[in-house]
Amino acid sequence: MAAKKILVIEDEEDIQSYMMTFFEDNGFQALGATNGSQGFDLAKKELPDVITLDISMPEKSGIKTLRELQQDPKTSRIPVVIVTGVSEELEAYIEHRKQIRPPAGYVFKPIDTRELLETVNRFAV
Amino acid sequence: MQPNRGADGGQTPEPMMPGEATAVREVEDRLASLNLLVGTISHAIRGQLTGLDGGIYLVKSGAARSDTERMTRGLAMVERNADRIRSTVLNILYYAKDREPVREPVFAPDLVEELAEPVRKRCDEAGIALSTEIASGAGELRADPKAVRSLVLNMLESALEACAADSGEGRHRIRLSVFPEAEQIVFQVRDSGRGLDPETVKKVSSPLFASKIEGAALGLFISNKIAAAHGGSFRVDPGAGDGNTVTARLPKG
Repeated sequence: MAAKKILVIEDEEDIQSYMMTFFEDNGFQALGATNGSQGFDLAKKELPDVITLDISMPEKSGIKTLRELQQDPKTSRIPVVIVTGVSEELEAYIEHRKQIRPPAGYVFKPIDTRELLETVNRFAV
Repeated sequence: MQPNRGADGGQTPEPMMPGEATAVREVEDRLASLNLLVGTISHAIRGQLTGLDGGIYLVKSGAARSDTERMTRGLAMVERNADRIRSTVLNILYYAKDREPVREPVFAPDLVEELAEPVRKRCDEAGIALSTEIASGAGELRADPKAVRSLVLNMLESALEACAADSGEGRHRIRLSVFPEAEQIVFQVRDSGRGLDPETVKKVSSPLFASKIEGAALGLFISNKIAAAHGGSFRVDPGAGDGNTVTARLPKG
């Protein structure tokens, strides 16, 4: 069976390297993008099974990237798990934004890898 | 003195004494600033702890697989993020104390060489060329040694971050120089990395900074405070020449 494809959108190099290595160790084919624009383009090209998305990124925030992913027919069905160091109040903030559907899940930094893996495995079906 | 009572019997606030309104506003500004600082620090530390965890993961999984390359990568990640956490914590402590500098003689060339050493290792790992320039006459100044160390280290961290953020071709460069200028000693860091955005430059000198200032930008904010506390000045010039130029001028005496 082909490995599930996961796209990690994260601007911090160390965190991206960590997450991609971790996912590869757990049977995923991992792709990486260091900003929202690159992430959106890669998502359209590669059509991953699941995306992890950071929120605080330069140039284009994760919120804007999430909206773009949800609005584009090619990527709108791909589950997105937000992985962020922004506070848990983000969840309430997104719930109130009418132009954005809530993401598939949230994992807050510092990352609990068991929680991260359970969350992505739940959606990468 | 009894509180004023309105027609409905409720209490109305006492009119403030002259100067009280300013003092209250200063406290409110400070509290607002601290609230923002806590939020900002929380975000920065969460990311740095994740980086630290990442390094530990790579070391442990590398050892399990007898993968020396992975272990080496992991150890470098641990060191980098431990340094970042150290900087963040020291910056918080400096900000929280807001104390007068405790001045002693500081020999600027020795300080520059001392600080360049650990940074050189990180530059080598990242493929960045680090050079130091110590002008003759750049000698002694009376300053708080720990504070000046933080000031210069924060400038170097900002340069490292700018280089890491720039995906341009070619080898990045950082130059740390110290030179005399009239009755001042000037510490300057130039990098060839990504130019700091105008928002960040504004926030560096703002007493109230928005929640996005963190990491190296927070460090520059602290450096600005340290320079001011010493009676000196601090300037950030993004894109001046190549990359960024950050300059701290401290009085000699």
